[in-house]
Amino acid sequence: MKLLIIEDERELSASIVAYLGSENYVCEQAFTCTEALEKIELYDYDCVLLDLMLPGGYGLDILREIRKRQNPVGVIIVSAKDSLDDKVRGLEIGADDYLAKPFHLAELSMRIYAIIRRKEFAANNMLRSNGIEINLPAKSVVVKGQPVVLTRTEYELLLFFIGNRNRVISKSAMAEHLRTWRTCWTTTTLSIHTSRT
Amino acid sequence: MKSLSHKMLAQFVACIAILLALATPLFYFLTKHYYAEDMIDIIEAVEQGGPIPALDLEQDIMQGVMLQFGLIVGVLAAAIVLTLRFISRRLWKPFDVTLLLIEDFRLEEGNPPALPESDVEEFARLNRTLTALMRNSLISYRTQKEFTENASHELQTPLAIFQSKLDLLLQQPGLTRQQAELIQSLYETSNRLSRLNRNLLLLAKIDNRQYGQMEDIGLVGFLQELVPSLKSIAAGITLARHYENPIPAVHANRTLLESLVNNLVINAVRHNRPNGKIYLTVQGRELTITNTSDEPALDARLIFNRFYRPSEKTKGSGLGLAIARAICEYHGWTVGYSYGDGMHSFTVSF
Repeated sequence: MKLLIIEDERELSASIVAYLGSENYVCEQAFTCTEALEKIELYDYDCVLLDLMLPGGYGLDILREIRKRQNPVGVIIVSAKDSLDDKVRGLEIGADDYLAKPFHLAELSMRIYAIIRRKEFAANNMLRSNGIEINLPAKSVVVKGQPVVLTRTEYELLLFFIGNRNRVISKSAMAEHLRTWRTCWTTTTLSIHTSRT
Repeated sequence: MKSLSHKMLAQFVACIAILLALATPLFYFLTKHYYAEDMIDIIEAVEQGGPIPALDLEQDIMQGVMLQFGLIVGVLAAAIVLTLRFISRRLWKPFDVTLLLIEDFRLEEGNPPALPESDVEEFARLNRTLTALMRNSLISYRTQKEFTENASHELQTPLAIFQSKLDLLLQQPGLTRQQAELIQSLYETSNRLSRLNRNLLLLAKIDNRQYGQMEDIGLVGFLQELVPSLKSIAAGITLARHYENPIPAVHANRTLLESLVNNLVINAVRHNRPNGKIYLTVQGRELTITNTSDEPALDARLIFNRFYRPSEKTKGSGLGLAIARAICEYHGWTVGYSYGDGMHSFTVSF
């Protein structure tokens, strides 16, 4: 899996690389607009992390450029701007997800995993990991051949853990994840999701 | 351009001149009647060699002088009254206009009134000074508001770096229990920082009126949609609802209305007692959120202030109720607090 991290804040970029690098992700970094556009032109990526405020231009312009070329790469916007307008604009231009700073690396890892999973297994909706089988559309879980009934929160947490295999996750990252997942389904964000479809 | 006193004097003199001109026939008549006729009688008698007529000259002259004196005083008095009543009112009119305009000026609304031109030096100066003063206040007001927003914004990135380094630290092999606990408490601090920052940013955005999109929202339907998420906030505390001929719709920004209800409910949860209750009531144009609590009545004038904490055990950022009030003011609603029988109530009047 190849990732491009477009983020001008070198420390943050380095943390993301260190965290994701331990999985089988190959991370490349771009710190400016021109660098990012060059790399997107030259190489194929599975997922792009995109900061909106970059030296030499706006992240949204990079996103427009990507979509203009019919490039199907998954794009996650990572931005300090978290107003609804910014999110709606980003998603409308064609981002797959939007994560507001500050965020937990575990949350980021899970979202990248979700996007790559969607792209890779577009035809196959089964998720298999360490003897656990998850039917994503049916939201049913089978462990070693035995069906297991989970509450929504437990199911969400299971997906979160699978998205962060072999890592230590802090309590606050989990709480934050559940919080954003819940508020996802309140009226405001629901209207964004529906507006895209 | 002339000064006010100069203009006043000129108009006063003109007024006296006109009045004196109008009074001239009277002076003529008085002079003729009291002195001239007597003199003519005496001169005629002397010319014809007759005896001097018996005239009381002293009395006539005294009467004439007194009447003339009275007339002059009358004219002056009339001039003064006219000047004060009408001329000064006309002269000071631009000042009244300026006063009216600046009485309506609100710094938050951000548009200083255009003060009228004046040909009186003092008023022209006053208007120039006031315009400059309002413009400068507006600039510093905007700078200050933008500062809060920019500062909160700029803080997001270092916070993100800090949090990401904590995430990495947690991945280090061979962490001891003590080290893990230290990291956990750092996580909590960083969460608190980012929550505080998010709330400050929200407040700044409301102040800067960045929530323009307004719509008519069915209140009861909106609250019902929020109930599942409110229940998850209220963990362990009963949330009872009651709607009594509620207003069909409120004109509001959806994000802000959601934030208002959330903040009031979170507040009601935080200050509740274990297994307590929260009542969500809509009665006509009023939304009331009431909670049980062991805490005494609060000071209604202070609780909506930023960072006001009545007790030291408060867990929140200290901004929840300030945000609630800011949202209400933004929409032109009012929010109030009342206490009775161990119940704390917050009421929003739409």
